[in-house]
Amino acid sequence: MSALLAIDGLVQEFRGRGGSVRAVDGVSLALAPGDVLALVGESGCGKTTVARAIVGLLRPSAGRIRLDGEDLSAQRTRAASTRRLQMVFQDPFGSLDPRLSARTIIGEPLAIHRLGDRSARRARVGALAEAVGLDPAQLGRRPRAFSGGQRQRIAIARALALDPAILILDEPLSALDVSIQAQVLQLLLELRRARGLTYLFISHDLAVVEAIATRVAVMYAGRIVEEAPRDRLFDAPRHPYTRLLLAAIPRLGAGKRRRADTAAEPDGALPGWTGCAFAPRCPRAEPRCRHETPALAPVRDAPDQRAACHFRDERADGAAA
Amino acid sequence: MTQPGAAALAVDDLSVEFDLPGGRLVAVENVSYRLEPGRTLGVVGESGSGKSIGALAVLGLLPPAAAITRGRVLWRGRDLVGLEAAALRAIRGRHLSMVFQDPMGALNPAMTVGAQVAESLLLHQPVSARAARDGAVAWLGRVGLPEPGRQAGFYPHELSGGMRQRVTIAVALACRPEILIADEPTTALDVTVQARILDLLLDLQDELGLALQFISHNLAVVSEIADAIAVMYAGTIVELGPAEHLLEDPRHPYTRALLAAVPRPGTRTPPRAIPGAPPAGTARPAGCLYEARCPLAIAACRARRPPLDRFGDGRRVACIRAAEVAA
Repeated sequence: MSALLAIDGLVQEFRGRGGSVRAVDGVSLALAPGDVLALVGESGCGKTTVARAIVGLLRPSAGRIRLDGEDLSAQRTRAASTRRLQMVFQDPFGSLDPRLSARTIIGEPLAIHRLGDRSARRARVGALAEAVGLDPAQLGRRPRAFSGGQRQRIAIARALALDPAILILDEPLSALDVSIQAQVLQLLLELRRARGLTYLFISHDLAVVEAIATRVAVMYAGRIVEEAPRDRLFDAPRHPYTRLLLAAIPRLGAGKRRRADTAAEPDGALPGWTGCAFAPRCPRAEPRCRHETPALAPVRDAPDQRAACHFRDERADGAAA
Repeated sequence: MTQPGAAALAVDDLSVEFDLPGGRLVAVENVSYRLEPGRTLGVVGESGSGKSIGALAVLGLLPPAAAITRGRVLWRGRDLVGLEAAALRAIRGRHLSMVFQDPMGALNPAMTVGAQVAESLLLHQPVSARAARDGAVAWLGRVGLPEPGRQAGFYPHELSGGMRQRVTIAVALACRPEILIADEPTTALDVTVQARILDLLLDLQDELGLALQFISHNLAVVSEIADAIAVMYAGTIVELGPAEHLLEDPRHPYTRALLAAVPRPGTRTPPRAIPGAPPAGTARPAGCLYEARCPLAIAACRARRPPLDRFGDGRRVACIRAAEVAA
């Protein structure tokens, strides 16, 4: 497979008071051109840490990240690659400098990379603003004068300034109202089509992921526990954690909720635990799950679907696939 | 529970305005609804629709720049509007309580969670400090802290977001109030935790006979917990009625648009955005507030604000073309 972005065995450790914590524990992912790969999981699962390592905000403890085959850990390629790999953050309030005008914010990457003269940059910023649905006449205003949805458009315009191949989108809709989410989601799909972009879309919201992703990787406690094409993951999930996440999506038209159809909340890694990290919450767990960590491996009936579960070849009803 | 007189709280023709340097801003306009014992009213709308400001007005917690300009909030035959601060404080927490989106902001970071639940008990009930402490541990267990005896001694930052929200629910319900207003209580939480908090609220509602007002921007979340739904737009209620009717056969064009904006599991297609934006609070048209964004708008829509009229099946709709809106 010719991957545009390949992450191989990524490990990210943080030193804390009680020793080091492994936030990301051997994550491998590959994005082909045009993919919208959704990386999903609950808070603390390590998905944002993966994103920060990819864009170079963290130095990985182990593993390789390659863009078009070039290793990003080499300093020389890192500088050149930042132009091809841009990130959009969750919080459109915190990620934009409140003292700068929208025009300055969007044009900043162009200024930093000394691209074009002032008037060329000004024209380019105007075009970017129009591409994301902002009124160029309002670009003199500061972030505070814009709504949450408009601020996220500013952040997207800035990310597009250097004409990247890949956008790393870290929960780009989570701080927005549902109706504004739909607007930004449509914008992202339009931009992908018009500019041939590839997305790594990080989210905890599976309802949104189902609408935008081509493939989905589910993360739990620092590892990928399931990865599959979108339809396969939603129609035939094989990891019990994926099933738990799917069951928790609020659904329209299902009437008032049936209670107690979801398993326990996360309570962190248990000290001395050697088995599957999900076993303490898992309705399917057996004694071996407490000792043997299952590898991420293809399921028998679908080679493009991988799950890290000893029972990956069972359907939800327990029957063999 | 639907006969007149059964309301735990009745909001009647409530309006709220902000007095700002740029002029007066209408945040809530002529809003009326009732909360009934054991039932949930879901209030949905976008940011700025007035759903949170309306709730703060009911609770007597408006920011200094805002004021109630008309209407009543009726509780046990008394109008809470204009009640003295001390009298209102005695009612709030004891009979009428609230839970907000951000549990970290609602809790005191320098006080153990057990002490915060105990404080809520001591404030409104003649109990000893010891009984309040025991009561606090019992409540923390009731809301789902796995080790309440030990965790009562924790500070808020030592708990996860979901556990913190459980603590704020314990603080809010410790005095067994009749009415709970929950404003986006699950929005900051993971979906799995959200599901469990919704379960907890439904359980406690059964147990206490709570009249619950559940505020959210997400119709899908509201549909999981509400018996009736009020849709707010630009400070007004545009549709109000039994949840199943409103969700299956929306009659206000805005309700329809809001439903289409929610991603539907299984459809695999992006949700439809609502074009345009609500009118600015300082420049409100005389006619329908949704008219500028409405695909069904006609000249008559601009003439005057459509009243929230009865529309059969227990529903009210503020649209002159409600009968023509196809499901």
